[in-house]
Amino acid sequence: MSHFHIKTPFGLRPVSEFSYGGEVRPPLAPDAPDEEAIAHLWLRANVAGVQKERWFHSSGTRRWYTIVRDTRTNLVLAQPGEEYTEGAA
Amino acid sequence: MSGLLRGRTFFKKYPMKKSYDIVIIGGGAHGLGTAYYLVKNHGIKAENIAVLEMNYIGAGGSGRNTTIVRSNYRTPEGIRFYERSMELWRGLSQDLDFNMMMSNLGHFTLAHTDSSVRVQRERAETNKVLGVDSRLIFRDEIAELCPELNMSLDVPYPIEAALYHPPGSVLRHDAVVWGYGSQFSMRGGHIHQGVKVTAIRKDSAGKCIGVDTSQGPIDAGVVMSAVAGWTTQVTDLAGVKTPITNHPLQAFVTEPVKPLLHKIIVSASLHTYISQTDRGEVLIGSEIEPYTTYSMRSTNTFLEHSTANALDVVPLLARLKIQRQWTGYCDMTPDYSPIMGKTEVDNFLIDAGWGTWGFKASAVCGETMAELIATNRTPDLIEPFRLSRFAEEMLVPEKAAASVSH
Ligand SMILES: Cc1cc2nc3c(=O)[nH]c(=O)nc-3n(C[C@H](O)[C@H](O)[C@H](O)COP(=O)(O)OP(=O)(O)OC[C@H]3O[C@@H](n4cnc5c(N)ncnc54)[C@H](O)[C@@H]3O)c2cc1C
Repeated sequence: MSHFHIKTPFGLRPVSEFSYGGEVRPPLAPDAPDEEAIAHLWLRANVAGVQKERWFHSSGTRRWYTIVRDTRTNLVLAQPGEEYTEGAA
Repeated sequence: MSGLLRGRTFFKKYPMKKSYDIVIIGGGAHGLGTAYYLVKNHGIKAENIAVLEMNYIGAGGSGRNTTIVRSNYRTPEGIRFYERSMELWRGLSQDLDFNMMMSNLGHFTLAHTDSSVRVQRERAETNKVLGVDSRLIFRDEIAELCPELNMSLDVPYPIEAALYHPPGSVLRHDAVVWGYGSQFSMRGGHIHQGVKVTAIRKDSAGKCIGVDTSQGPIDAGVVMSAVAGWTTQVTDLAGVKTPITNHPLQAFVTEPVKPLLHKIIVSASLHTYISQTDRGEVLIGSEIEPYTTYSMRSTNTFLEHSTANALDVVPLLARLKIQRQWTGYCDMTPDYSPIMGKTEVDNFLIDAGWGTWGFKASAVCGETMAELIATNRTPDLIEPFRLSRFAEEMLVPEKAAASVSH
C-alpha cells in the first residue's frame, strides 16, 4: 500500500488502518426511477484527479471519514472536516 | 521458420492516413491481436486498420503482467472463454512464426481453509464438466508433485488441498505483443506509436465517426477501445459510463537462479502467487491495492507483505535477493469478468474490464473482437460479458477464480 495518512480525533493514522469506502456520490432519491437506481448501484466516475471519498477506520476508531485526494499522486488535499479549495495543493 | 537472424524490423512506419475503416485505441496485446485476426480471419485489408498507441507498444499491462495463462475459472461462461484462449496459445508460436516460449508448468491453487477447499472443489467439478483438466488433490499428492512447498502443520495456515490444473502455463508476454504486432505490420497494417486519442467524434445522430488525436483527426467506420487501465479516460470521451475502477497491481522478481520451482503456485488465503521464469528469476505477485488510484509508484509495504507470504509457502526462497519491482494499472469490474462488445454509442466498441486477468485472454479477445467488428454480430463466447449485464443483473461472478491477481 502506498503511504498517506488520514486525520482522526487521535491524530494522523496510516491508510493501512482503514478500509476504502469508494468515491462520494450524491444519495439516491427514494422515488428515483429504475434507470437512475441501476446507474447509482453500478456506475462509477473513477476519476484520474481530485476525488472526494469515504474511508472506514476499521483497525482504529471504527468511524467513517471523508477526505479529498488526488488519485494520480495520492496526496490528501483535504482531511476530514477541512474545506477543499481548488489549486490549494 | 524465417531464420534465426530475422531480416525484418518489427514495426514498419507509415504516414498516418486521414481515414481508416477501423481504428483501434491501445497498442497492447488486445488491440494488436484484434488487428491481426481482422486481417487473418476476415480478410480485411491491413492498410485500412490503424492501431493508435499513446506510448510504446506493450507499455500497458501487456508488458507488466506475470504471464500466467489458465482456464480453471468458476463460471461456465468464463471457463469456455478462457479455454478457447488456451487453444489459441498452444498454436500461437507456429501461427505468428514467433517463439512464445510457452512453458507448461502446471498450476496449483492452494487451499488452507475448509471454505477454500469447498470453492476449489466446485471449480474442479465445473471445469471437468466442460472438458477442462482440473482436479482437487490432497496433501500426499501435493507434496509429491511439488516438494518445494512447505507442508508443515505447524504454521498458521497449513496446506489442506489444492486445485491442480495441469495445463496452466507461463509464456513470454513481450513475444505476444511483438508477434501480433509484427505480423499485422508485415501485412501492411498501420501501428502509430506516440499518438494519443484525445476525443471520440460523433455525428449529429450520436454515431461514432472517428477520433481526434495528438496528431490530428482521423475518420473511422468503427472505433474500438482496448486501453485496459485507461478505459475510463477513453469512455469518458465517448460519453459511455461503466462500473470500472482503477487499481494498481505490483509484482517483483528475484535474481535468476537454476531451475528450482517447477509449478505455478497460487495461494488465495495468503494473497500470493509464485512461479519461476525461463530466465530463472522467481516471479512473485500479490493482490491489487484496495483503493482506486492512478499512481504507478511501487512500494516497500508490498515487498514486505508479499515476501513474508511467499516464504510461508516456499521457504527455500529465503536467501534469494530481490532484483526488480514494478506496477501496472488494473481496470477492475464488480464481478471480476470483462466488459466486451457494443456500447450505447453506435460504432464505438469496448474491450475492457481486464483487471488482473486480461493477459491470458488476449488471444481469444483478439479473435472474438475481430469477429464482432467484421460481422457486426456479437460472438456467443463474449455475449455474457456485455456492458448491459449490470443493468440486467446478469453478472458473471469470477471473484473466486480471479481475486488472487493472475
Ligand atoms: C503486475 C500485473 C500482473 C498481471 N498478471 C497477469 C497474469 O498473470 N495473467 C493474466 O491473465 N493477466 C495478468 N495481468 C493483467 C493483464 O496484464 C492485463 O489485463 C492485460 O495486459 C491488458 O491488456 P490490453 O492489451 O487490454 O491493455 P494494455 O496492455 O494495458 O494496453 C493498453 C494501451 O493503451 C494505451 N492507451 C491508453 N490510453 C490511450 C489513448 N487515449 N490513446 C492511445 N493509446 C492509449 C496505453 O498506453 C497502453 O499501452 C496482470 C497485470 C499486472 C499489472
